[in-house]
Amino acid sequence: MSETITEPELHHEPEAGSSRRMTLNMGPQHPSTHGVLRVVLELDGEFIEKATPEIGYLHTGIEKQCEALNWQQVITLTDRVDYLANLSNNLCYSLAVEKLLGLEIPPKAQWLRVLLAELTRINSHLVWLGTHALDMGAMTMFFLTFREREDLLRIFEMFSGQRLMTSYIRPGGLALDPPRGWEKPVKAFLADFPSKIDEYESLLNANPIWLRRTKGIGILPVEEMLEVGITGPLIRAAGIPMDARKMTPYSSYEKFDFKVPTATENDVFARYAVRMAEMRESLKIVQQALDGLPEGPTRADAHRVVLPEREKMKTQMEALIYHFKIVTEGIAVPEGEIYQVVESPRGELGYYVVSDGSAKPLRVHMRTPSFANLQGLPNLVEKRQISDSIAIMGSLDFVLGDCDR
Amino acid sequence: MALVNVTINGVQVQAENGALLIEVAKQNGIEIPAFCYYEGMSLQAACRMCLVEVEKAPKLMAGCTLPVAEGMVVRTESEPVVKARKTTLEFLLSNHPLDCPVCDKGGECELQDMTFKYGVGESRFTEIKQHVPEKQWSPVVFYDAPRCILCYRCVRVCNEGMGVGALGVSYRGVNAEIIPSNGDHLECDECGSCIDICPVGSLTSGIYRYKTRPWEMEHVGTVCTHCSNGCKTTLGVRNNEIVRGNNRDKSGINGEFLCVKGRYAFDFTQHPERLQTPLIRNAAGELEEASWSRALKLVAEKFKALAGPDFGVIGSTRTTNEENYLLQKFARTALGTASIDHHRTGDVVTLIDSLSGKTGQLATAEDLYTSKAVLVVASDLSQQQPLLANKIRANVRHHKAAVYTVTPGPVREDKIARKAIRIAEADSLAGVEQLREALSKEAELVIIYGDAIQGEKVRQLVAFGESLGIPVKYVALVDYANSRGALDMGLLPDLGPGYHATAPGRSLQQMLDDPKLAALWVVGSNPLKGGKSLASTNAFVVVQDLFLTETAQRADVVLPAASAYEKNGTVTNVCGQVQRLKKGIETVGSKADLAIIGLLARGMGVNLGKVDADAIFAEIAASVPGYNQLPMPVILTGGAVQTHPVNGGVPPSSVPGIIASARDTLFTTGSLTRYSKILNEVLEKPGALYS
Amino acid sequence: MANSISEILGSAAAIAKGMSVTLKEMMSPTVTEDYPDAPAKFQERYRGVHVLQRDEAGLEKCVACFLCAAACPSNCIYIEADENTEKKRISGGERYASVYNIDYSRCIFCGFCVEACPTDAITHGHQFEIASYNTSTLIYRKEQMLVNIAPNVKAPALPVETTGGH
Repeated sequence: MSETITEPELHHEPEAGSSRRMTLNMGPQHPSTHGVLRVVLELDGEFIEKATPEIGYLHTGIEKQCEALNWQQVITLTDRVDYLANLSNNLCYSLAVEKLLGLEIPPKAQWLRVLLAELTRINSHLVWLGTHALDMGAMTMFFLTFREREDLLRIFEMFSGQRLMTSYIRPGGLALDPPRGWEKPVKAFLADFPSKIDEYESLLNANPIWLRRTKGIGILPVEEMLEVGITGPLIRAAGIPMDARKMTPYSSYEKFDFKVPTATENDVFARYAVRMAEMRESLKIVQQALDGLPEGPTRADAHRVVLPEREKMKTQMEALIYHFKIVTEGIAVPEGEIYQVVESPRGELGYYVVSDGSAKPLRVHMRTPSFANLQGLPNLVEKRQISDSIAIMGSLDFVLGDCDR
Repeated sequence: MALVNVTINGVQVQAENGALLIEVAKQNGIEIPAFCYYEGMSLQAACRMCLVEVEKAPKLMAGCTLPVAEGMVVRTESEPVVKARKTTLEFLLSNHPLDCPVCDKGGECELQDMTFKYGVGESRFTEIKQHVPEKQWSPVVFYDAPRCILCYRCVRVCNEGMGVGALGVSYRGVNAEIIPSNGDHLECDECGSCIDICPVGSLTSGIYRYKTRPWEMEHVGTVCTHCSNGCKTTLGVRNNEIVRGNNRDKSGINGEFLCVKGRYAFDFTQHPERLQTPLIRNAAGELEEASWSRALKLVAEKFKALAGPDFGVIGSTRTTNEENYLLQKFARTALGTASIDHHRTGDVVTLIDSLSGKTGQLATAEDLYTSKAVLVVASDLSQQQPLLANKIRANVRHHKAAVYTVTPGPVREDKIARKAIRIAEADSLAGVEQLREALSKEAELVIIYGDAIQGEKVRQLVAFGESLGIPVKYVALVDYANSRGALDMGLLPDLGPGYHATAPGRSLQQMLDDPKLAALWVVGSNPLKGGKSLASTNAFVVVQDLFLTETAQRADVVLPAASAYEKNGTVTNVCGQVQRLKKGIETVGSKADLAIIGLLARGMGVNLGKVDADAIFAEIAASVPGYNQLPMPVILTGGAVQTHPVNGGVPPSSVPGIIASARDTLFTTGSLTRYSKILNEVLEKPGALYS
Repeated sequence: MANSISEILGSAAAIAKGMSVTLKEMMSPTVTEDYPDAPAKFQERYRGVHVLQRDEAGLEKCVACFLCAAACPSNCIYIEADENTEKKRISGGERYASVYNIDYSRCIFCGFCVEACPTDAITHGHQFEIASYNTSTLIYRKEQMLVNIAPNVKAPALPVETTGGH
């Protein structure tokens, strides 16, 4: 074995007059940006001197479109903001409208909303974990997480009829009563999933490549994070236990027992660790929601807002009239404005809704976590290598539809 | 009237003593819901929806019949009231069929609205409903008894509003239902007011029936193109097709009133015989289809060659003011002819001349509703001028106005008249003279006269009015949607726009009779109707019309034109009130007359300035006396503004027989109504009085 | 020598370990679906291409009330209504849809139309393979969505009306 391998020259000294500086477009079509994000990188060799995210490639005008649809129809648009957190968006909008209407939502609907919102969190984290690991070369993770995600999508389909565009949580309750036999797949998932999380961790936690690429990477001072409005697992991985479910509980979250996982390292690995812990906490919440599910209706008793039961609509004159009027004219939401926050998988999701008392919203603004979290990107990747930027972007877990709206 | 203090829901308001509580509440922004109460109609107190709590009254009181009095304390939202409303609605719905999905009224139903706003969420009465089959009363009126809530609105609007009284209520209790005058069918004006006024889907329209939904239509407020009254009509348009006409927003001079023509006779726009392409007479002497460019080129060349004093132009009584103005301007300047005329149907010209030097003596439609006395001379208003007749009836009902009629035969106004004189048309003035004593005792008077009064007789009538010593206003009746506008815009052989004298030319009849006539340009008119012929056999005839009329059949070139529902512009009604047309539907193949005139001018190399309805209206406003200083915001927003034409001081030439009304009925107005399928289906006996 | 034996044994152990995972996975049930070779599996509530229903007598359930069109957030439903007559009875109610089109290039499968329908006439089927190279073929007419008359039901007096569509 006397052969000597000559290592290729990695670093050429620049010739006189030339430069190692270049501008590189990362995206808008780049696998690691998970959508159409363009980051203009000013490079000095492998090092990023300056990073400028260019957003807006997925701008769909959803906020404006909300003003053209009536209050119930807007639900279909909230599905389409964040394809990994449809039910969180459904929930946030519904809560906002319900607050304006002053509606009391029956406990069964609230519990089911919590259950579905937590399954949504797991679903989103699974996609994040699979793609994040895939970006770093751990391809198996992608297959494993998507295997489990399929179970969740089936549950969503079972409830709402669609895997992604659920439109299931509505102002006033739920679109339909839960389907026959819905507990079975949820229970099966609850029973199965803890071991799957262990499996993921056994693949990653001791993986030297994973550790070398995530530990100590992507640290941003906490003050700066707060300044640009970073929330969710990112801020929790920086040691701040900020969580809307605890700080401004909604949909009876205060009645559930769960912890807000935090870490202090504030690096890519800490964010990974926090999300893994969150999935475990979410399982606990789903278990509680399943065990303690109250009896009763799934829609509020508000005949001017909620469509009457189908049976009544077909036999009672009053119910038929309410059905007809709600469908054709929409619901009249009292004049006012409201800002409603939920903890989406990505952080603080806020809906700012203004009503002028008519059947259509005057304004719907979405404060989306992806948009705020992306603000930290330049400072996170500058002075770091390009390869680190992939890990950092993955750890931010943004959805471009959510960012651009 | 003395003002009294009333407290409604804790707010003290002032109201006229004796005013109805429901009206007082409404004026102060408080809604007292009601079905049977209808502004302008007599009180019924049938629905029990307007019950309110009045202090010191032992029971709830009906707000629609309760006059306010000093110190009255009313609560409209207290618990007993809310409960009473819910109960009332429950009862109304207890036998109401579950028809909303199929009912035409769905989406604009007052019962739905009230239930949504005031009703209970749950039904307690879910017993089997009593079913009665739907009945058809006429081609346009259907009645579904189980949906009826017996508010009597239709009965009252037919009796009081229309003066027909074709509807009544029969049977008692749960079996009570509305029945038509003739047992199983209607004989009436077929105006459809009962359908419109019905708060539920009990009375439905035969043509709108099961077609669409209110939210699926575009609602275009324009002016009816049939008679001269200028009613505002809101067209429901879907897929470039007019589906219905009504005026539920009560805008315009007519409020919600519309006659059979305004409500139904828009279907001529969809008639299969509508011309869609220009026609040119070929070598074989037949009209054949041609392209617009070829037809326009041919006409422009011919016009250029034939321009001169022997060129005849006949304008229309339906085209817009802008089109009429442009037509006469084009004829007088570019074509160099003074032979311009139109089908004259009433002597407005002499009236304006007789009133020269005086102001404020032309009545508006509103004056007929407010004037203390009205004199109708030689006209069957209910048949020919339905809106004016309706205004007079409302005036009698609300203000107890005195009505006098001088007519050759019985008219519906006789029933409400203080005095009705039956006298031959030729002797109308003698009949008027008989009323001198009675009329001179009135505080004010509006005189309405038909085409029997023309020329010197108009002057005599005005002199009679002057001699009464009371304020008198006049309406010279004309027939068509823009008959008045055609006169105002100078479609006359001796008068230009604003009744100012110009070099005289041939009148309509003289054009037809002149064998030397080189060319005849007929825009939206049918002078050869009724077997008349053109004396000049060689004349080059160009006709712009919607259909192949008798005149169009004689034409060398026929250019398909757009109807009033297919264009923008302004029209002037019988009382000289200018209103704006709004385009409801797009045309297929045809062009608006304004565009055709503009294209012909361009083809001849004549510069008419900007050919666009707004630009030409601005020119009219700047140059035509009477049309200047009109408040544009009112017109642009769909209001009506009266013009004040001033005579140029030149006495009009008075040729006997040149002014002749077509004596239409409620169901006919010249060529357009011939092509209305609906109107021909409902055709009732003209002149029926239903007394 | 010993060195190379241990190397061989180590490699063999690694292969065995790897193969055991493979073997284990071979035994466990597949999580992937065999689509398109086998039909795709759906939950009961799946929202696919709409199906227009008939009643027990074989008449159309749709009475052309337009509620679905009003509820639709993407304006993809186009209806023309007409009146049933004694001779020509299409639906159970007084009116029926002479034209009922759904534009699947606009439809978002939200199910609002199904919720709005007062007569259960429009429902979601499980058909989803509607992709086309030509968007005009995505406008489905009533006849394409209407269920067939059940074999044990005598057909209505008149054959299903065919409309030109829009």
